[in-house]
Amino acid sequence: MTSPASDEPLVEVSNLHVRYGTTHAVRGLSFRIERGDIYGFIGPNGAGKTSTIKVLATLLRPSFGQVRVSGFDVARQPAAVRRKIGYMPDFFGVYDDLTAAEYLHFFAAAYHIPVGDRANLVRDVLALTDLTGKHDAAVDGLSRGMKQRLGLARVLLHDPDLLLLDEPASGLDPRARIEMRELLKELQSLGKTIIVSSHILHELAQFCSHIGIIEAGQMVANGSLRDIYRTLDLRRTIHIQLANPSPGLHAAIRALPHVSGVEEQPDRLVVQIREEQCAPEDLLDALHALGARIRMFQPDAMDMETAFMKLTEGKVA
Amino acid sequence: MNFPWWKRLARGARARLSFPLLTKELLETSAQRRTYILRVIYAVALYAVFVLLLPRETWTSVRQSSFELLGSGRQMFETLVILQYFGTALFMPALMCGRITQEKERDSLVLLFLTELRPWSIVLQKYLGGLVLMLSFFLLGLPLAGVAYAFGGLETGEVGRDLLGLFVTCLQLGALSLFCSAWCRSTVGSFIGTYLFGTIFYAAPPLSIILLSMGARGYSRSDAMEYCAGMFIPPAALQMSTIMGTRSGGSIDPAWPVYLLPSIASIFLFLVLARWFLVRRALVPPVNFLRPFFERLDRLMKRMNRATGGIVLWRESSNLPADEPIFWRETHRRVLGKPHYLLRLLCAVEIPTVFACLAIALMQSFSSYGRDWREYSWLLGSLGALVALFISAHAANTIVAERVGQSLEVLLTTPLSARDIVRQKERALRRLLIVVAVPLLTIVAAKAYARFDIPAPQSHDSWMSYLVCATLMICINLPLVTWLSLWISIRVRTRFHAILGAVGALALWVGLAPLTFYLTDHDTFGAAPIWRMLVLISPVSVAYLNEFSQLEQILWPITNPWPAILLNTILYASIALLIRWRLFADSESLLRR
Repeated sequence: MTSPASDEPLVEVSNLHVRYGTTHAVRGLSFRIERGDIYGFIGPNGAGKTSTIKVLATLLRPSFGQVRVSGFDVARQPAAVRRKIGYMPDFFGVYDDLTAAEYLHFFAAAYHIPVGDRANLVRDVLALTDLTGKHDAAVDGLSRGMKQRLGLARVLLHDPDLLLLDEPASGLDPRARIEMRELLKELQSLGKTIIVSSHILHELAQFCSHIGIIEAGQMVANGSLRDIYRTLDLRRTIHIQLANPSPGLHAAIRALPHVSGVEEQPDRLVVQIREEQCAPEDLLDALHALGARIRMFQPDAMDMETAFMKLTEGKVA
Repeated sequence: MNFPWWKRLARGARARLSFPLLTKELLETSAQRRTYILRVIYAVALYAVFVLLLPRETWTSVRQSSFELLGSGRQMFETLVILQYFGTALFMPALMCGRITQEKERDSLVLLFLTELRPWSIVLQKYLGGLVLMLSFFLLGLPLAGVAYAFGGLETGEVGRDLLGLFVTCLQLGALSLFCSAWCRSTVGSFIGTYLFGTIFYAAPPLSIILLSMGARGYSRSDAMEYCAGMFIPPAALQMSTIMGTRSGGSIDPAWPVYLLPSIASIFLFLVLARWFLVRRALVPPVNFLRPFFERLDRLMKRMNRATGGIVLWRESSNLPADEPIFWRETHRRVLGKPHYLLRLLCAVEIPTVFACLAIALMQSFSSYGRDWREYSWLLGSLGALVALFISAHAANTIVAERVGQSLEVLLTTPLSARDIVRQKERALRRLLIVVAVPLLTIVAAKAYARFDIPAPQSHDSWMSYLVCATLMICINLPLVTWLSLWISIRVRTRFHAILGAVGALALWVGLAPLTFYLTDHDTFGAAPIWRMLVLISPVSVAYLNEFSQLEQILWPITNPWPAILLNTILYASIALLIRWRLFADSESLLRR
């Protein structure tokens, strides 16, 4: 079995169909993920996200279509694919009768990692997931967030190329969600390719390089965030507080090119711009040129929720 | 709005009589595919067994013409009622035991408490929901009852009496199962608890009477004692009414309904208990009884070990897994896999077994009746049944626990194949098999030794053939039960279905034994040798015949037991290996569903 060339996309899904009896869960899904990307998989419940991730994790055979991970076909070479992936389901899947270290040693053995390397490896992944202090703690006694981080430590044991994370922040409290997000950013900096499905849209927007929006088993949008916003003609909202507000200055701002709307609120102006035509920093320069003294300049994060609502209709497969 | 009092009363009555929970139960039941599957299984089993038994009633060499069959409807009807009794005992607990526990498992019981439904209303509607289903099973027997009626010989009073007995049994088992359902936290616990408690409830009075009569006046028992022995078993109570009626010159005691009063009282008692525990045990957390039990046993044995100066034969290692992580976890972290816990279990079972064997040997030495070693056989049978149930339930749980604990998917994305996972699980169970085999082999060895001492009269087999046959049966049947249960468990998704499927399949297979004995009796088909080999379709038939020195019945007129032992060994070793092969062959496709 030869390893494919590294310039190939890490994940290549072409015309994927998944059927459960009479239910057609995934209908002709196609996408590619390059190495080092963080791909956010978004869709309403029943859209086919988990089915697609399960196909990539070799847990489900595709009914039709071709799915390749690192050049290996998931249906024909599942054993080779399993060495390349780390799968974390939307539930914990941990053994309550083991300690955190035993749990990781258990999976190190399952991944056939040499016995001599395991102790250091377990220590390293526990450190990476900030669980060093829980080395000998019973899994049963860990909090929900810690269990999820332990699950992430597990998938890192065999240093996989691709991480498949199905709803990693599901059911976590705000602190645990933030910790999980920071951890994913750290993994991104380590060069891991990650597919992450989630319902928490604004969080995905903060660290995903690419997004796939799926509904009723079909891809409705796929690409970088900027591409999706451009396709949807979405506008960036910027909150501005002026130290010298005046009706004349407001009119001049309204007249600026690429400003599509200005709403006057008691303490601020809410300005909407077309981002592909005007970046927020260009607007800032234009405001200075108009003589505006800026007390606050706050661009909103890209509005994933609007994009999601605009693209989906609430259909299920 | 102010309604007149009679309208308010009517509205209140209508609301109270709407039975929303019962409606939901019936709708849910009718929407489930398994309801119809169970009904078909029940009907097929009932009709098949009835048709198989019919020749026994009709095909006898002494009858000169078919007219002599007229009047034999009574026996046919009795056969039908007996079959329905068996059906009730098998199906009723399974249908009723999850009625309340499923609400607990779905966290919906507390929501019911927040509605206008009172606890009694919940209990009764749940009870009726289960009864309706069982009663619909009884209706399947109506055409067969019609056949029996056509043969004549049935009196309306007898039909009514038998049907009432059956109905009371159904109510009683239903109430008992509902009580267990109200007590237990999980459906699996309720299912096992129903059978355990049911066995104690039905077996305790007769066993107590036997012990009392043995101690007091040899083996003689008064009528009152006979009645007390079976007073909670409706068919036994009705049988007693017939015996009493015959003694007083009639056919049935005219006061026969009185004989059912203890059973009816027990129904009310179980319903009251179900109502009592419905609220009190609604929020009990799930408890693993085994771990605290073994920890307590551990402490006790450590305390006792002080007397020996603290000798440690086995020190638990803190090793981490090397190559077989699943085998490691099963044998190092699971209660029934840890070597020192298994040793404790062995001691806990083996020591009473040895004492029981010694007690039987002593009883035999002082007995004025001849020696027939029957007590060893009953001990072996009882322990064997418990071991089979325990192994079956444990093996069925071992794989489905990974599914329920949601760790199976994670395991399946590692380089371990599904076959590897099942193989390591199966290998880990072997230690437990050895532990439970030891007490069984102890009883077999004790009986063989007793038979070596004094050979069996009028028997063609020897202590050696007995020892070899019984040992082979234990060595084949225990892995057979394990592999069968594992094979069933990889096909299902819930713990309840796994245990119900495994134990049910085992019970049906074992249940074929009395049927085949009945069919292969001399009177049924004469002495046709081919029919005699029918007994081999149940894995316990040969074990039973071996216990009672009747192995020659299988290959009659060959009286030498060795060919029958050889044939049975080859047959069941092949079946066991076939199931094992299917288990591994199917694991990849069935676990990855």
